[in-house]
Amino acid sequence: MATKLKVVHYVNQFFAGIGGEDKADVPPSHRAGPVGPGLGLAKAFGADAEIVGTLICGDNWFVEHEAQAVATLLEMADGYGADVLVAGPAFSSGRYGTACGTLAVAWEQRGKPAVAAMNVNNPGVELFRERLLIVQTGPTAAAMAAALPTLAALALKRGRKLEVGPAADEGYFPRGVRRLVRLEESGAERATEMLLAKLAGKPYRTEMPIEGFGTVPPPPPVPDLSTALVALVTESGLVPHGNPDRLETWNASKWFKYPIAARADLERGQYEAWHGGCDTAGTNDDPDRAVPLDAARILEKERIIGRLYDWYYVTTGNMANIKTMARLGAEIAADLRQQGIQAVILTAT
Amino acid sequence: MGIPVVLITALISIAERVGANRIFKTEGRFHHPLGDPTLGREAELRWRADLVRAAARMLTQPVDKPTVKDLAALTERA
Repeated sequence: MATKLKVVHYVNQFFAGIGGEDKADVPPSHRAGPVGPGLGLAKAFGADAEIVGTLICGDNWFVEHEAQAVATLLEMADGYGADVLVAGPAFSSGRYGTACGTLAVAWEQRGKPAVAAMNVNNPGVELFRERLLIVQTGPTAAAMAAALPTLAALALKRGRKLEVGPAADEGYFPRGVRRLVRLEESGAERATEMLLAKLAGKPYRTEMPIEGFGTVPPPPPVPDLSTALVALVTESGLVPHGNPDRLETWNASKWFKYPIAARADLERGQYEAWHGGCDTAGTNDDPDRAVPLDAARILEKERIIGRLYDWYYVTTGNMANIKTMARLGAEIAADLRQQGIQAVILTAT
Repeated sequence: MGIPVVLITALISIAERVGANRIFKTEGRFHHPLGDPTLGREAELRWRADLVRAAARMLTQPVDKPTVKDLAALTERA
C-alpha cells in the first residue's frame, strides 16, 4: 500500500471560523490537523491522505501584505513537511481566490504540487489557471460537498505524481495545454462522427476548442457626429519612417500614438507599415491607404465629423496573443476616454 | 458607456468572429483597406473619402450585435 500522503490546507479567516469581513485583517496563523472545510476534505481523502496542518490568513491581510503573507505561510507550512498544498475552495470570493492562487503558485515554485478550487467568476481563475490546477466549483459554499471529492482526487493524483487527465474529465479549468494522444479511430472517422452528430442536433465534443473572444456590448451611436471629436486607430503597424519606437511586426506588446495635427495627409516616405503578416508595399506607397487621414480631413471640412483628434493610435495585429491584444485595446480605450474622444474610425488589415 | 468604433476591413469573417460591433466591409484590399492603386491618385482619394464617409455613418446608427454594412448599404440615394 502506498504511504499516506501529507496535505497542508489553506483557508481564509471565514472558513477557519475566526470571523467574517470584520476579521479579514487577521495575520497568518496555522493549526495542526484539518479545520472547517478541511474536515470534509479529510473525509474525502479517506485513508489515502492526511491533512497534517491548516494555514490561515485574513483576506485583507493577504492582499495588503502579499509578499510577507506568502513567505510567512510557506514557512509555517515547512513545519508540517507536507507533500501537497490544497487551497480553498474559494468559490466566488475574489480576494480569497487570489490569495489561494498566489500561495499555490509560490508553493509549486518550490517543487511540490498544489491544487486550488474556485468558481468560474472568481478573478483568480483567469489570473492563475494557466499555471495552476484549479478545480471548478459552484458559486457559493453551498457547493462545498460537490467540490471536495474532486479536489481530493486531484490532490491525490498530484501528490502521487500520477498522470492528470484532461480538464473536462478531472474537473479543473482548462490550462490551454494540448497533449498528443493515440486513438483507435482516425481523425477522418472522428470528424465524420462529430459532423453527423452536429447535423442531427446531438451533442458532440470538439477536440480542439478555440479560445473565446468574449463579447463587448455595442456602445450607443454618437449623438451628433458633426460636432464629435473623432480618432483614427489602426492595427496596420503604420509608424513614422524608421519605426522610431520599435513597434513589433508581429506578436505586438505595445501601442503608440503619433501626431497628425499639422498634416493634411500621411506622405509617402514619412510613414511606413511594419506589419509582418501582409504585403506593405501598397501602404508604403501611400500611407493614407491604411490610415485615411486625407479622407478624414475631407469629412472634417464637410462637417460630417466635428474634429479629428490630433494623434492617431497604432499597434500591429499580426500573430498576436489575444490577452495582450485585449490589454492594448483597453489601454488605447482608456486614453481615448481621457482625451474626450467620442467616436473611432479603426482600420484593420 | 463605451465609445462607438467603426472597424474598416476587408476581412469580414474575422471581424465578426472577434465580435466587433460596427463593421464596414471595405472595397479596398485586405493589406490596405482604403487603397486601390489602380484608380490614380485623385480618383483614389475621392473613392477613399466615399468609403470613410459611409463607414462614419455607422457611428450614428444603433446596433445590437456585430453588424456588417458596405458602401451600397450606407450611401444615401438621391
